[in-house]
Amino acid sequence: MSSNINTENWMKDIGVLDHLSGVGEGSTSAATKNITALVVDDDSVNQMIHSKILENLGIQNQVVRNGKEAVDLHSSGNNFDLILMDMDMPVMNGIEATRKLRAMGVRSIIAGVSTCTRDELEQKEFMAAGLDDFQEKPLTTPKLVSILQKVNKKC
Amino acid sequence: MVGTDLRQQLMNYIQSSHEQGILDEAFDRVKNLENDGNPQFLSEIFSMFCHDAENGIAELTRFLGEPVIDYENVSAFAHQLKGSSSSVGGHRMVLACCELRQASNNKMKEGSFEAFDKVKREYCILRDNLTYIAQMEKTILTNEARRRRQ
Repeated sequence: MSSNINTENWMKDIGVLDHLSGVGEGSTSAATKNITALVVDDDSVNQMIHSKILENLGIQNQVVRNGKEAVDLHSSGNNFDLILMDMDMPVMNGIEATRKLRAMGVRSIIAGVSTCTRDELEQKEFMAAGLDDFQEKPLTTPKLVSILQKVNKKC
Repeated sequence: MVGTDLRQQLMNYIQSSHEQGILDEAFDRVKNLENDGNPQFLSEIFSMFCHDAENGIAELTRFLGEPVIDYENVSAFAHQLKGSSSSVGGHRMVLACCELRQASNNKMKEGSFEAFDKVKREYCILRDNLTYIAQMEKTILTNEARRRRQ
């Protein structure tokens, strides 16, 4: 119960709760307006859901289909406060993409978002590649809010 | 009122789907993402899921129809199907996909065919459920919009 109250208080502080309740729409705080996110996931359903969760929290976001597209986006000068990185993707998976982004000097909050895996070694490898957080799918609003707390601390 | 009746009918239908294990709490979370800004969201999500699932099933049919089965690809597509089914809350379909993945990881031919038949059956049930829910939701929202204009 207390963690729910803390989440609500934090969300009020950055204006996110106002946005969700419709109160003060159009007066979202600067912190919420300026947060940008990148969704990296090969599954189109997950792309839509994660994008919608971000949108409902007032966060501008883009979507790409694999790690290579995420790397290419950064190579062409784009950057984001938050990257939601799936693990299993074709062309370039989340582990490799995270390593490459960190090697490029990308300092965004990168949160691994993946299905529950019994392979602890794989999850450890994912964290070691440079993640700031890991959340099991499905991503929910409370899970995203806990990730956003790290973005807020960094800003 | 008609609107309340339709809402109740939809709630009862969703509740029944939960009780039969067709849908789980992930479905409720997706449904709650819909807002006035995008009333088509549910329809779009479900259409996308069905499109991707049918592509996945077509690929699995192809791989399982080969004289020498590529179990690695069967497992990969089963994993993909499991992921998107899980996102829309298709509980029984997720379980069927897990069975297929396990059978293909163990290179069990008969087991893979049986599990794939189950995946196809559960997909049809889930598709019909989601289609009905999306249509009901659309009717309800249309009626509500009409009443607001009056």
